[in-house]
Amino acid sequence: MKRFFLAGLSALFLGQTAFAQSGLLERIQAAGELRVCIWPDYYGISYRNPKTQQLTGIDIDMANALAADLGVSLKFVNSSFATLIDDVTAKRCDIAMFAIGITPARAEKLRFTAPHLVSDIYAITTKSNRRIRQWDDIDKPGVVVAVAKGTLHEPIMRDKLRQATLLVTDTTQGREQEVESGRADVFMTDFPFSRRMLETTDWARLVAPSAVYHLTPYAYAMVKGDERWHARVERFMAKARSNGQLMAAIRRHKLDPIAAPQP
Amino acid sequence: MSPHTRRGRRALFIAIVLLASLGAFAATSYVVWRLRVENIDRQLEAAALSARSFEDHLTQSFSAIERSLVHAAEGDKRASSLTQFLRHAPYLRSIALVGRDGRIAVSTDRRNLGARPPLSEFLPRTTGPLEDLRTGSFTNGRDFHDGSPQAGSGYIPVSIDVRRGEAHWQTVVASVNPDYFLNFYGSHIAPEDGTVELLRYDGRLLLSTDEQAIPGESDGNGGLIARLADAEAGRLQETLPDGRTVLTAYRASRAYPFVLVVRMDRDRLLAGWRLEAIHTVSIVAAAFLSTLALAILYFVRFERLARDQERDQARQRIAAIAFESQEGMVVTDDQARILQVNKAFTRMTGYSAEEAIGVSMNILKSGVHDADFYRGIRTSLAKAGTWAGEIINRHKDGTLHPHFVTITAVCNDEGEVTHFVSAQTDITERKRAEIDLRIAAAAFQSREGMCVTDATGVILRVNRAFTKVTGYSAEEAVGQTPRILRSGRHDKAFYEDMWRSIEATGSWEGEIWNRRKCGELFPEWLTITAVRDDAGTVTHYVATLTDITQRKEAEYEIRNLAFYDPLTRLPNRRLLLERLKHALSAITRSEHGGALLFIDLDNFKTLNDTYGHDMGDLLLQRVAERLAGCVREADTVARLGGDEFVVLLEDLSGTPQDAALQAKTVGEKILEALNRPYPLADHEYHSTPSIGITLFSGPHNLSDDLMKRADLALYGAKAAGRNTLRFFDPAMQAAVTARASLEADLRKGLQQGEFVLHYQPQIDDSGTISGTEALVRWQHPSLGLVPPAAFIPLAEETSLILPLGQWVLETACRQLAAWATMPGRAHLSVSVNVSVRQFRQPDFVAQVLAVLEHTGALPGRLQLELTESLLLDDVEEVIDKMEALRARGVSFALDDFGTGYSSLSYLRRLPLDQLKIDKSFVTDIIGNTNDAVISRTIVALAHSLGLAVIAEGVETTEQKQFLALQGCRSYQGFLLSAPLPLAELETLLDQAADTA
Repeated sequence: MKRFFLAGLSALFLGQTAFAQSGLLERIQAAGELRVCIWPDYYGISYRNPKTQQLTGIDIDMANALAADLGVSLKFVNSSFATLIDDVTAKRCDIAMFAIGITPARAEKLRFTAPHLVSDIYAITTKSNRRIRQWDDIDKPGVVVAVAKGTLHEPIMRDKLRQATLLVTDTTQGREQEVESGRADVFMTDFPFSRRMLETTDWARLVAPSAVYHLTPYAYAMVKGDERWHARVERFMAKARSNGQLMAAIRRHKLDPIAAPQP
Repeated sequence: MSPHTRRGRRALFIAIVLLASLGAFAATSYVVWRLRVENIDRQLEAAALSARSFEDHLTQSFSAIERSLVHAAEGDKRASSLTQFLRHAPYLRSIALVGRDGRIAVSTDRRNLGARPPLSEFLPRTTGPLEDLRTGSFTNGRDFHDGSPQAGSGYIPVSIDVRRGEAHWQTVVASVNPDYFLNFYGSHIAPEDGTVELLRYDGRLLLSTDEQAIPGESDGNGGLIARLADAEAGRLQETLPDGRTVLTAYRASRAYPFVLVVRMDRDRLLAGWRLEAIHTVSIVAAAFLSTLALAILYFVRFERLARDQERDQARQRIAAIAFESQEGMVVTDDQARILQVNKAFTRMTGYSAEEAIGVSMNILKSGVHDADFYRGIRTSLAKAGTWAGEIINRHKDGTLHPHFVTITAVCNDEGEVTHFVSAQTDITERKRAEIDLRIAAAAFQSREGMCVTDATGVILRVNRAFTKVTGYSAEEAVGQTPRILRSGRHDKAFYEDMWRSIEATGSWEGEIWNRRKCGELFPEWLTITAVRDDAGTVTHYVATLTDITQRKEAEYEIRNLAFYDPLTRLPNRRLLLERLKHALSAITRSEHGGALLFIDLDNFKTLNDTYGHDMGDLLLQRVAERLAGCVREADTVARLGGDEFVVLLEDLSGTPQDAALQAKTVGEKILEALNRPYPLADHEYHSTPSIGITLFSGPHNLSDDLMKRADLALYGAKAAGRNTLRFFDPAMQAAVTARASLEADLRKGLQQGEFVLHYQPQIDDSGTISGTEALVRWQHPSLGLVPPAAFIPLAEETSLILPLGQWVLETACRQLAAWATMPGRAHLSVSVNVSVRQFRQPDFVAQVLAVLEHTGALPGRLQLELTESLLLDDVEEVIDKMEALRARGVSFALDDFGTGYSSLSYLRRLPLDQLKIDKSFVTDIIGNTNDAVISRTIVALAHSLGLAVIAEGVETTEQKQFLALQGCRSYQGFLLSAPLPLAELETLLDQAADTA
């Protein structure tokens, strides 16, 4: 009641500025709807089950919680890492919630929440691949390493590989096809996606780095410059962290190995 | 049941257990084996199924590949349009179009351009274009362009010719991704479980899930390819070169030249079976063992039950047998109602089982016992559960019988009495026997001594009276024989008679002398009865003995009164007369004589009157004692009354003179004895007797006459002045007197040296005088030379023989010593006669030795002549004495041999040197055959004993010759020489020496 009053009061006094800036929070409240960008292939994060078209994943749970926290309805907007920056800056969604790795390139364009997951890089090969037995087999002459274009792995692998050949596919499916058909030996991905590969295909084999290879913090991304909106989301996240909602969601989707340490 | 059946049962049980074990084992083995077979079948089936699904997958994949290639050939020839065929075809790496020059003209991978796939090696082989998919062998490298034979990476090239209008063909090649298939196979069959191989139709290995397998090779699959001719699919068990057995299923592709082989490791597949088998065996074993344990438990329990049952049955049988014992047995309920009886009971009570069962035990009540008695029984049963005692019961016929009854209460588990068991014994007989025994025992302990022996005479039992009589306690007597009681008074014949009587009549009774333990003899009245058993065999002897000492004493007392003088205890007139009569009759049978001495105390009347009758009686008693001391045992001293005593002497000499002398000796002894003072009650009293003697011999004498004669003789003595003796016969009196004077002369002669020695030479068969016999002669001052026969007996009687003998010995020894120094005399020996009295002297040996000593005579020249009468004495002592002297060299001759009682055994023992044949045999040796035989016998005897023999009294040459003929070598007699005085002998010796 009090909060409602305060909210009303702030709207009363700050309404002008808000509207003048056409802030996302105001838009959301005005529309009564929260638009969240997701990548529906992101297993464990924001995955749309092709058989049921149901969305599952930690960020689906968190998006629902955010919408509830805001008291508005929720609308998911399909996106991908390739189109992420565009989708957010073009305000096709109010927030991107699909475990977005904070890379310098993205941080330049987007405003991130504090990270809630941290993942290393993992390689997926086929079970019958006899070249790749372990992580150290990857950066060898003749080995073809596939990465999807626009993923955080593309620049990292381009930077890291010395002897192996890097093959950049247009799509994420492409890298999988390259590996499965034997044209590439491995493709690089993160923890959640590697889980998806292992659980949904019968050919994939995980090759984990022997030591920490390259950690990437994951967070939600918003448009830059809308501090009110960002603050609102951060407040929500802080609350979700403190009341265990976040951790429960992480556990529910078996992501606790990559849960970020509390800020 | 016997232990035998028990053993059988156990054996059966073990057999069943073994059989069941065998069955369980067989069944389990069968099941396990079946499981294995089924498992293998199933796995083969599974392998075949896998092969089928893999083949399906393969065929479909290649069908898709074929379609993609056909479409690719038919589409435009740009690489980008070819790429679309790869999009959803993970089994393809690249697609390429081959130009006419056989090089790749267009490819999804630009690097492949210009590469020349070895199409001629593809199967199926062809010379021209072929519209079927053909396949090359496994090629190392990622794609056509990749010539590097990098391990672990390869592709399978395929091609198809697609008709493009008339006579124009487009060849399309593709590199097939083998990993696609390996992934598929690998996700179905784990490499450790088995391998999946893809072969080209010619057997060349295209790919294998086994990383060790080298694609392109065709080893080991020849057999499989050969099978393809028969069947496109099949299954088999194979043994691989490495020794593993695999279950193999193969299937050829329906459309393409490929064969899929699935090889499953049998051992791994059987791991499940093995586990299952172990489980099965464990479960079966556990179940079986539990069952077995249960069965054993059950069996053991069954066994125990069976054993218990057997024991129960045995107990019941025993109980049944025990119940049918000799004792009457009754089982009643707690109200004493009869439930069961045995035969003995019916016998004992007269009631049959039918009559008894159901009724109360009260039917047996006799009415003898009061209510307290029965109450006592009930109390005992209630308290102790048992009662035993005697009850008088009534037989069915009404008679009363004592029964010994033991009643035992039988209780149930709660301790309540449910039954009574009563055992009863009819003790009528026992009672009777007890009474008999008591009577017998009482009888046995009578005042008569009783002794029971067994058939062999060993004492089994004696009573108190026996101990009292014999002095032997029961302990001492039992085990001994009645011989311990023998007095020795009865001879063997007595006991033989006794036993004959017992055997004949079964008993003996009579008076017998026995000896008490203390050694005292006593008369007893003994009755011996033999106890016989039914067979008539003697089992015991019962002896009853009564000590009849008192009776005997009483008898004796009576006899005393009749025959003895009460005052002096001497025989009275009646006994005297009886003995006299007896003596007279005895005399008629023998040649002995007897004498009757009447003794009267002089002046006895005066004593009586002066000192009173008591003193008189006392004197009489002393006189009686002294009289008894003067005579031999066999003689009788009697008191006729008053101061009149009679002595009856028997066994006197047959010759009246000798008898008179003997009687006189006794008479004088009496005189001397009675003359000694009598110490009577402080007084020393002197009394003298007068003695009248009469002799008797032969039957013509009558007692009364003799008594009168003796009395007369007594008067003679009194008349002669008292304190003297007188013979009835005056001639006898004279003879006695003469004898007395001779004795006095003899004594004097000894003192005065009136005796001389004459020597009678003894010659051997050569006529040489070897020795002499010293013979004593009395040179009486008035009678002249008295022959020895006239004074030697007198000397013997008066003991004068001792100094006389001593003198003779001394004289002879002195002569021997004298001769020893004389030439021609030294060899002479002297024989000296030794009288029995002389020899009997304890110091005889010492005397002789002393004589030898002080005369200096050589003992070897002295020969002592003994008479056979000596042998009546203690022979051992005689032998000792003889031996002692013989040890010094003195020799011995036995004189008058043949006249005495010499027993041969004595003779043998005596240490003799010579036998002398008595003169009496020699005298009649010619006329009397008997004497001849005797003399011959004596000679033979002497020779056999190693003794020398000499004949006495040889008077004629015939006699000498006869004796010589018989072997007698020494002689003595008038034929040679009469006994000679020393001087004459010396002359004779000198003559002999001269003639020699």
